[in-house]
Amino acid sequence: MAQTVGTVLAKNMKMYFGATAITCQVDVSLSGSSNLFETTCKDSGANASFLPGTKSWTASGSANFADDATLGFNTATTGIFDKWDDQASIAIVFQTAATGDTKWSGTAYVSSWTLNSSGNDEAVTYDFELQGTGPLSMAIIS
Amino acid sequence: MKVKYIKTHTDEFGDVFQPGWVAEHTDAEGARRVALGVCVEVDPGARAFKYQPDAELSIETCVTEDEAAPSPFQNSPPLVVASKSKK
Repeated sequence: MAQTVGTVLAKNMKMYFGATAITCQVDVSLSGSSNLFETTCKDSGANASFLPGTKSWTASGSANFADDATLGFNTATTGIFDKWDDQASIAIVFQTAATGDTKWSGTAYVSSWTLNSSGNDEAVTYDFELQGTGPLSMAIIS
Repeated sequence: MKVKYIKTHTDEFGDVFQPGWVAEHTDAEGARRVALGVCVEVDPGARAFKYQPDAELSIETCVTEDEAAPSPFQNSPPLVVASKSKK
């Protein structure tokens, strides 16, 4: 599959742990922020001023739960539960599968998760939040 | 790319894949692993589960128009809106 032309279809943009996509993802997102500190002082005019301090980023997602998922909530060692329980880091990549598209990658820890069995005729799902540590890099999939 | 492993494989992240398991990788990474001879490409609709080596893959397919069940209103006569007559 070559570089995506035009708007990227959400179905194709997934979260990977290492080199493997999480099985049966429903929603995934990646967000970044900067801690801005105020530099306004008595010498300032009418406008407040700020400078950027530390940057941070988080990722989150949800997926359908399957006991036999290749990479799911309960996957030994590499799944969300074991990564949280072991307090182990995860190499995450947010990308499509297409060579030439953009990818974002970094290292994160599981900060929270929820396993949901809601109602009667619904899939069992799980949600997770990841706290990035260190830089989030942007590159081209090669 | 979805691939089905035919040999036990441990990747550079320490993830272990057993024969029969289906996993999704980027196209380039999938092609690299296929070239290594540890897996084969499978239908992109296959679910990434830990199958037995000889198990049939669970594949989601779109329902074509021929297979689609008719809408309950498909063969209904068109709606007629009766206008009120002025008395």
